[in-house]
Amino acid sequence: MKTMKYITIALLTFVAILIPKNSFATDEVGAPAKVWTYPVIYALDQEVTWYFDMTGTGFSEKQDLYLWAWSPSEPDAGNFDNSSDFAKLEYVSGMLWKKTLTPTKYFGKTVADIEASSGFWMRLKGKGNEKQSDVVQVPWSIGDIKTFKESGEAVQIFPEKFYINEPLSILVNAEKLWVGGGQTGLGGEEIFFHSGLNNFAAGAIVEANMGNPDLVKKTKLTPIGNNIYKIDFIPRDYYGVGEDFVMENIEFLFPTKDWAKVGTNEGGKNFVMLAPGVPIPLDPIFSFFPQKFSQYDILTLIRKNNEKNSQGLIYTITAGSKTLTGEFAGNKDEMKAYINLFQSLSNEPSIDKINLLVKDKNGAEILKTDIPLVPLSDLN
Amino acid sequence: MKTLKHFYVFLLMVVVLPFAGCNDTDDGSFVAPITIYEKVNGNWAVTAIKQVDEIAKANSQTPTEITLTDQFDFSTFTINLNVDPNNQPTDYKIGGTAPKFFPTEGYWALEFPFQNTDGSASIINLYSDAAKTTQVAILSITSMPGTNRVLELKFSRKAKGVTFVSYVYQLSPAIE
Repeated sequence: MKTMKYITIALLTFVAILIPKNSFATDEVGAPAKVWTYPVIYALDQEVTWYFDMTGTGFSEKQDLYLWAWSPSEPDAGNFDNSSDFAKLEYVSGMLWKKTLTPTKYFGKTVADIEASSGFWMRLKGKGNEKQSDVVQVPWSIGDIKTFKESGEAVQIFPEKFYINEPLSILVNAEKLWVGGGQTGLGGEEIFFHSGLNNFAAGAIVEANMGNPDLVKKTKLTPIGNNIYKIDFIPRDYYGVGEDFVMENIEFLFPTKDWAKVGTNEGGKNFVMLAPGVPIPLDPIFSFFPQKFSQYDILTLIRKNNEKNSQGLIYTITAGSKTLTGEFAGNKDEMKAYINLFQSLSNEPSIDKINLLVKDKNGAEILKTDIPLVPLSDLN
Repeated sequence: MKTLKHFYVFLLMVVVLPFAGCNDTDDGSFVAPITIYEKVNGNWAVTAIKQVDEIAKANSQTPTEITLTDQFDFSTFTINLNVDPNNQPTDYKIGGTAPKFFPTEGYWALEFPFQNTDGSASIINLYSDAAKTTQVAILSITSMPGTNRVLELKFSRKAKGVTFVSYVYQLSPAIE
């Protein structure tokens, strides 16, 4: 009987040994709702903040979370059961955590090492080994910067679909900027970001004002090598616009220090990045009426689909020895200028062409062309 | 002789017969036919003016016209087409400060005082002299006043015989 008791105890002990005290398998609590970085585009030796929205995961609000990364290196190796402080994330609010770091420093790797790695791979976890997230890859910009450089574009905005209250980065290839009449670029220069929302709408402008040290600092672009520059911001904060402001576009150009040179889009135009969902504006259409006219006639100039921020248009007609100037009237959809050639030119000798120059009120040239006239000798 | 008698009877009939129509049963006196002069004479004021691109119109392109009523004082345009008591055209006078595409005064006459049988527009010739030997401009009547008192005059600009632009003046009787 006593033997039986020992056997039972031994058996129970054996069974007890087989049953683990607790499960060593760590609970997987799900993937983050969203992961993003600020800046959106960042260099590997530059400080960046990674954001993790853990809404919908099994983590609890405000709990301590730690980075458990293994690529490009494993900084907290061996401490899965008790994460180190350096790996700790900062709780932001509403299930959002962030980690600010400089990749080269955090991972103890060179830029080249990181570039050669497969990227930033990690899980988030609690202090201990109880809960971990699904595998997370934090976006990096190596591909973006390279693709941008190779595209030959002067400017690109990241993300492509940018929103007023979310971070964005604007990359500039200074070599591709237009300066004056040609694409001579601003390589090697110190360049600034002169910009406004909604075609420089009042109250939504940040000027590259060289007389204001704060603005000089705020609008300066960061060179990230190879004549690529960038600027990062959240539009609502950067432009200081209110909650009800609806962003339609960001318009900008790139002056150098003290506006000695100005980098623009092709042909001296400002860059305009349209916010997602904003229809692409119709191209302006210029025409004149009638098709054929003489110096004795009424000429009407018409420009449709004018730029939204257009302050108005001014024409200058050079006809023989006379110069006629005036303003267009109308609205953005259609502006017209009625010109009484008869009054100005009826006493002039026969004129077989006029030169027409149209400028906007900011001084930008819209059109310059010759228009033939029916010579007086042909009239009957 | 008998033949001669018959001849006299015949002659008498020939002489007398025409007078049969001259008795009191006539239903009216002679009235001169109505001419276009009666319709178009008087003082007219512009209600609208448009410029027509005749090249565009001929090639079915748009736009073909543009309204100039509110430009360059075109709205002040008046034209007085005077006639004598016999409804014969005398002088004309243009009032207002609209661009003066043709002389502001002179003499006028219709090319043909009746409606053209081929349906083409009636033409008003403007002259600088009372004898109407020096023509200074041509206006065509694109709308003839009827019960609706609207006169439409078109001034065309031609190059080598081809109209390339015209100005259409829509007019109504001026309020004196």
